[in-house]
Amino acid sequence: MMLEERARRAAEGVRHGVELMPARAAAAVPGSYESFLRFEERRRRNERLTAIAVAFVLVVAAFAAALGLLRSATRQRPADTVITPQKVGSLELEWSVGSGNANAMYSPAVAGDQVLATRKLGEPTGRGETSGTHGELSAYPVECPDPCRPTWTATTARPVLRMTVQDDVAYVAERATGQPGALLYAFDVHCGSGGATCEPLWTGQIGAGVKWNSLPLVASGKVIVASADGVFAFEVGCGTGGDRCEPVWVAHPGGASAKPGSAILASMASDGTVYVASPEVIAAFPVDCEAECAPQWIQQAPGPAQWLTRWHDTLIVGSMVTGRQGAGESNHVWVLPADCPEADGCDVLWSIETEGQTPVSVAGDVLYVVDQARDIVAYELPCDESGCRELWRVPRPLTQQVAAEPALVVDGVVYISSWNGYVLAYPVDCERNCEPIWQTSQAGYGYTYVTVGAGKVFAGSDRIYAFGVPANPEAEATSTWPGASLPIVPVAVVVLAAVWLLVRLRRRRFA
Amino acid sequence: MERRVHGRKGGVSVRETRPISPLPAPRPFEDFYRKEFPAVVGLAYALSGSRAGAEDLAQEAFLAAYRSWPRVSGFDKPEAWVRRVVANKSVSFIRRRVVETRGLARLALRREPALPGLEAEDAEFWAAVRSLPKRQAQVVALHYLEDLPVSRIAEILDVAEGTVKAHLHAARGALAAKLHLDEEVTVA
Repeated sequence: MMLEERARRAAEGVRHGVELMPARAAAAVPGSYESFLRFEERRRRNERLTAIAVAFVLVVAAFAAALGLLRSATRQRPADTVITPQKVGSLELEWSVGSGNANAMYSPAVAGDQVLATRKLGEPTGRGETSGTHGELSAYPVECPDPCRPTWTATTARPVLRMTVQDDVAYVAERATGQPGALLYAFDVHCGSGGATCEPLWTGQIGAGVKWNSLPLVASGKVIVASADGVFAFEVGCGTGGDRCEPVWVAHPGGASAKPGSAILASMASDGTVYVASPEVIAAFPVDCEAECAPQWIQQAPGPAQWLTRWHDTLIVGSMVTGRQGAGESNHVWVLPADCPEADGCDVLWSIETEGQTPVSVAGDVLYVVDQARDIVAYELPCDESGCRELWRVPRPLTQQVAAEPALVVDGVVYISSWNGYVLAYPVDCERNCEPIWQTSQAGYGYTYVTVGAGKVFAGSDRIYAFGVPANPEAEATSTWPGASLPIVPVAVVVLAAVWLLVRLRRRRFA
Repeated sequence: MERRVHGRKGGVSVRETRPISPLPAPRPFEDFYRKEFPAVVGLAYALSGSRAGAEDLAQEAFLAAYRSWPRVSGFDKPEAWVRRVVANKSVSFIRRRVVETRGLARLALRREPALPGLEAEDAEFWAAVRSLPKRQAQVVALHYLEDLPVSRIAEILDVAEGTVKAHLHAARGALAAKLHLDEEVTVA
């Protein structure tokens, strides 16, 4: 057969098929003009819906991009500032700053994008904790470049050790030196830049000064200091420009003239109540007290108390018997009613016997007991007279060096610091015999304080040490936040184009 | 409802008022559609091979003309323009798949396809045409479906007549080989 004949026949087949296009409905015979108008209307509707969908997606993407860029620019992405149990193992020493003198006893606190550090100045006096002649408070950027220099510094007349930061004010109390006239200082955390020397917002007299574990408390608009010889409460905004403030109330739980060895060693505030503990007494005062404040209750301490914490309606006390265990005196964790109705106190509800000095802390429903001579143990709360259920235990950690401070629990990680520059981290849900998920011996030398904030772990000992999770370029590239990588200007242009298209489609008519 | 039109006439600014055209479209497009649709849908069918999608392809081509009718109607041969559009859409692989999918969806909704099936021999011929290079397929379809001379095909496809002849020659050779036919033709 000839191609031409075959082609003509095939063309005729198509033409015949077109002529036979079946009718679907009276008003819309295929190929009819009515059918076309329906097609046009359907297409216009589909295009409009598509344009709306595209515009919606682009607007959402633009908002995501804008928010992502904003967060990226301000470096406030929450995920970046949380050190989870999964990330803690990646911590590395990023920077350190300080004299390297273990007697300086640096102590850190995080204030926004700064880390504040106290230290003692001067040579050791050979009188234990009161060594040094005066103190210094310095502020450093959290991301401190090399060489790391302070944003501002301030000096105090006596040594200082611990501080509390609240609402951009740092409260630091002078330590007890055996002489009256110690001061509480309030500094604006943004008081200077470029290494400026700052003056305090205000100061207040706190008698003999603070002992070992007592640091300023901020509660109900008051800053309260448990000094060695009394409790002093000031209004938080009581002065500016270096004013000398008078306390709104004062209390002397150890009597008007506290005996040597009976100084207040610990304090904590909770639910409108300030609790203080000395080797001899434990007492509770209302935060909103009268000028000469009488305790809500005061009772003989069951033993020398040095650490306090609270869980619901119980007050948990850690003891500090030193060097007398051989004489039949052991350490304890005692638990008392926090709201004791009797003026002379209540009986101990339950207790745990320990070997060494016993810093205690509570996070969630778990009591962390750091037995400085033995183990670190996590107990499930509540306990009762029959005992406590042990969740996990860290047997004799820190390479023969005892743990120093109460366990610090932040974002599911339990941090333990030592007396020799070690910091260790454990997950809160650890196995029974718990192994550290991160540890470092790079936290200097000497008694070590640890704090966590701004995405870093800070340790203070002979210097300030900052540990951070190194940036992971791969993780950045596969960020779960898709908007962070979208360029805002092109996206905005596309959105505007989509809106224009939408408007155009709506107005499309046959002219 | 009226629309103001501004313009210049003899250097003097004038303002006239004229009514906006009511919907649906004016008669000329409808007449154009009614006259050209069968040939255009046939072209779409031959080039796409889709019974279900040929009508959509043709209607899309007419839709393009409808939306630009003031411009398209001003052309010397709007029918050539709409054939070029459908010829291009029909040989586009992606476009063919889209309309085929749409057509199958229509079948799933129990709506029968617009076009009846071809005889097996005819279907085989057009399948062979579709296997040719796109331009050759377009030239063959236009030539045989509507008996168009080379000059008209060149107009429709906006190419030189020599190009059409070359494509037609090559296409015939290829088709004859594919279909085992003798090739004895003259080009008009």
